[in-house]
Amino acid sequence: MSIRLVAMADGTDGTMGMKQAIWSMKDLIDLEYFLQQDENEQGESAQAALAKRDREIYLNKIRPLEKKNQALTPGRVIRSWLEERRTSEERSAASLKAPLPGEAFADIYRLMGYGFLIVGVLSGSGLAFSLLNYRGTEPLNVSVYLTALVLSQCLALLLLLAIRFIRRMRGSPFRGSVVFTWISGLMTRLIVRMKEGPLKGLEGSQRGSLEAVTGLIRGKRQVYGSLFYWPVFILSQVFGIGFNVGALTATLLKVIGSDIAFGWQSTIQFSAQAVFRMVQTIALPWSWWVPADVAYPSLSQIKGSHMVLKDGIYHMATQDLASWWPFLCLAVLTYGLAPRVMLLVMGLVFQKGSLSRVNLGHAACVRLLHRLTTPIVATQGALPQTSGAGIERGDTIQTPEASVRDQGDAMCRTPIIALIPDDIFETCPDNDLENVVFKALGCAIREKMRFGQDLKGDEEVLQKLAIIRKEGLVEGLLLVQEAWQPPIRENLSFIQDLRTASGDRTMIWVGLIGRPRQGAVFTRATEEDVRVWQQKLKALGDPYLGAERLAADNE
Amino acid sequence: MSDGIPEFAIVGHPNEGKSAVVSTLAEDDTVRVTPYPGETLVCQTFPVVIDGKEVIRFIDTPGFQNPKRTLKWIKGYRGDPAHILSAYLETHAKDPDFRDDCRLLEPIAGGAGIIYVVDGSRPVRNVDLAEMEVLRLTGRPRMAVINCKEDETAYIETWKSEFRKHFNAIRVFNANQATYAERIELLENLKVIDQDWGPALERVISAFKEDWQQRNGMSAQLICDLLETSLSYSITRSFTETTSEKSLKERLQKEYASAIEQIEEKAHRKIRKLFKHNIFNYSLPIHSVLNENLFSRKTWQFLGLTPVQLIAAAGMAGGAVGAVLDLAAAGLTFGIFTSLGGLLGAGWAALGGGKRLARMKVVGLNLGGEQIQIGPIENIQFAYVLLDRALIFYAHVINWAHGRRDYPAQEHPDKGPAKAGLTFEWDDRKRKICQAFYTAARGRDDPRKTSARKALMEMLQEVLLDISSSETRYGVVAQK
Repeated sequence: MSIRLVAMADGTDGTMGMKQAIWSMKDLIDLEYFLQQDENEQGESAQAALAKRDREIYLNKIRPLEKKNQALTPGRVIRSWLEERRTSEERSAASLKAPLPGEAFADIYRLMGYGFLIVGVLSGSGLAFSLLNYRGTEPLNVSVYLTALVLSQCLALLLLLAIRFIRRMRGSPFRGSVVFTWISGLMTRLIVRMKEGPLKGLEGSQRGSLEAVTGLIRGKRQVYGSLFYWPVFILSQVFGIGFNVGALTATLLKVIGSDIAFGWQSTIQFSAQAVFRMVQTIALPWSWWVPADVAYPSLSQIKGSHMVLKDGIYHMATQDLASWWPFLCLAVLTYGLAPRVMLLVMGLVFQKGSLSRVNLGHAACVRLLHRLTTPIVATQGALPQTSGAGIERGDTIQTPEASVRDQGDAMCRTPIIALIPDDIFETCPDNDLENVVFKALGCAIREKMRFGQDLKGDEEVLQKLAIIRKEGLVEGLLLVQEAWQPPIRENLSFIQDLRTASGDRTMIWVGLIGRPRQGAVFTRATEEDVRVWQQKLKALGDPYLGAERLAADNE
Repeated sequence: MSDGIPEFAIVGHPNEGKSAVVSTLAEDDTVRVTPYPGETLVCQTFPVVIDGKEVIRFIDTPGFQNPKRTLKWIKGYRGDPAHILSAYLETHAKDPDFRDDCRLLEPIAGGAGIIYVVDGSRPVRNVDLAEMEVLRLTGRPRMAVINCKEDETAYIETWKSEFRKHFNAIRVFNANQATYAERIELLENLKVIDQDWGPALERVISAFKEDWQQRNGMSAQLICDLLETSLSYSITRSFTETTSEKSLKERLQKEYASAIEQIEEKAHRKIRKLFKHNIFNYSLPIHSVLNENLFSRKTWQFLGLTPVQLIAAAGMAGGAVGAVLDLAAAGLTFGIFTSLGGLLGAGWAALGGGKRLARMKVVGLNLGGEQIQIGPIENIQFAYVLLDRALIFYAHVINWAHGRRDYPAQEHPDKGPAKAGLTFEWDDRKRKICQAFYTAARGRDDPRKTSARKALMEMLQEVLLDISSSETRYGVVAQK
């Protein structure tokens, strides 16, 4: 059951000013925040209240947005839901002026961008100024300048590329990056501070949601992959750009405003010719568009600026001594500023690309969609909305189940594979199973598999799933489990094996049932048992794993 | 088991009543219960120590985490069968997934017997069969205990038939039965599974029985003391013209009632201390008669008196207190008031086959003032009420399975009240003894007192032993 977002070709859709379907960072953060808030509601009555609220949002705000004959994609649905939650949260927290995490993130990000830029400029210019401190007794050593400002940056660049390459080989591109950890940690601390400030003492659920958000920014949510690495990357490039701009500006200012002499020196007796060749090589990138006499010092100028300390500088020609500065500036520009600008642009492009490819298929999103699109059936009186909507659309009067299917319920298009324990396989009537699964998950069953008889049988199930996956078709799994059995290591290992066999993003549902009663298999599990299972499953840390209660209608 | 002491490892799923069995065998409430598998940190050991020497040991183990894989490994083992378990432990010592399984099999590898506890009210599953097979292949003596958490009996036969294939002995654990009896029966069952342990277990059983008798003896003593004190309790207060008689009456009655309550509570506490209770809660089953006020309407009505009788009793108390003014000289009012009181209570039929009228005797002493004395109550019914309450309390105290956290409280509000008022059913012999005690306690004849007390104590011990071995639930009052 994976849901892919479709990026809209044009940004507008002409109805009620809805924004583009492409997610921004801010949106993802807010989404995670709200999803986590809802996940924290554990009890059954709380779940029912959530379902009611979301269904109302869907019916009142989202459904009207549908154009004729074109159902909304799941991504758009979730986006609209997010907008709605935002407005209602703002309304309720209006007096407290506490920003949502997404907004807080955006603000902090912008501030950090400026901050990094300023710090970069200051440090670059500071370094340049200190390097260009000329007293008149001896010329400034060109190699010092080059090492400090150009070579160091080249090395940093090479290091970055090398690390990225190694990590990519190893398969985990962004874990363990020191810069990432540090900057993301800073960001999260600031966000939490911003949110906590006006609200003394967060409620438990809000605190939990904030934790989720910080986990998200720190790259801990494997759902989003490396998405949150890019903002940090961009920030470091901004710093680099600031640094280079600062250094360049400082150098130019110094050159324009004060008298500086440059020279080169070495214990090794290089000939001027050798140095000239070195300089030419370094100046290669810009020598083809800058006139030669500016691009780098000529041979005579190099000869003239060769420093031997014991001889002093009195005898050296000013023109030779001053001839180095364009070369140095251009070196900083080419080897410092230009790569950083390129990396910045690259970062922005990749970030945008990542955002457009965001795949919201994990458990919390699927649950949300299910809550939004499943009609709430009340047993007193006629079924609300569904039959009304059916008639509106010009359909013939259908049974509720059929009309649910028709309402663009995107989730139902891919039936799931049900894994039934050997203990109840024989006594489990297909009809009941289908009904119960449809009620809980809104989808049909495409295949039943038996497991739990012995280890060999389980192996075969896993192999079968791996084969199905090779053909690219494991959309979702349901593992029926008697909740009163304790979740032991073997159960959890089997679930982990299922994950390996069926792919990283396949939804796996654990359907919890209670003790069999008078022949009925799908009874209600006790709250305590459900709680134990939920806790153990949560500890596996798999966002595409969820627990659902399976119970027949009369339970 | 290098020290030759028989050990028993208790194996089972969390939340299936394993801890109820453990706490019954070990008479220890500190058995830790957690519903989350894989979270037991330590295997609790419960030794039985007689005269300072450890005689047997019970070990609470965590549940299986990998029964099927363990079974597979054991079946695939090709070495010396005598070392199968130590080989398993060696192979899996470093594997964190198998930590609990190793902990479970360690004592068994060391020679412990096995007590396997299941919840018989739920169906048998493949996991259970795997566990049973593993235990069977260990070759150790093993007993299965079926514990029924819910009322479902459909699966018990299946359990029993599976158990017969895998275990040396089977027992259906009865949580309704008093702990004492249940423990003795469990131990008797254990004797069967290995002959070598017979003597040690026999020692334990007789030690338990003796210990229980002793505790019963002390309880009987405490109850006798309670009765003696209450039956001879009286309060005396002087009053002047300015004090209103009515308010004094009320006040005294309240004081008397609370004094009796306190005496009773003290006695109950002492009884409770005899039975090692940490978890046992003060709040008894909600509808127990013990929560009712001793002198309140409900109690009297409940314990067999009709409303009319109750009014009579109330009138009796009031009338007796009111029959106060004792003019030493004349003595006329004395007679009038007491006879008034007696008339009020004339319609009142006493219980237990005798027809007696209750009288509150009032004695006044006067030298320049007047006094009221309340009590002692000259109503044997009162003694029976106290006895009933004490016995009901005892019945609750000795049964812990209900107090366990993993045992759902068996409330059946729609059924009528369970048996209440044990003394109801006593035969003449017992009543005679009570009567004799009652009379002696209020008199001054010391030899009579001693012999009556002795007889009562013996009878009470009998009664307490009966309660220990029976299954009835006492003292439930239906709410209107």
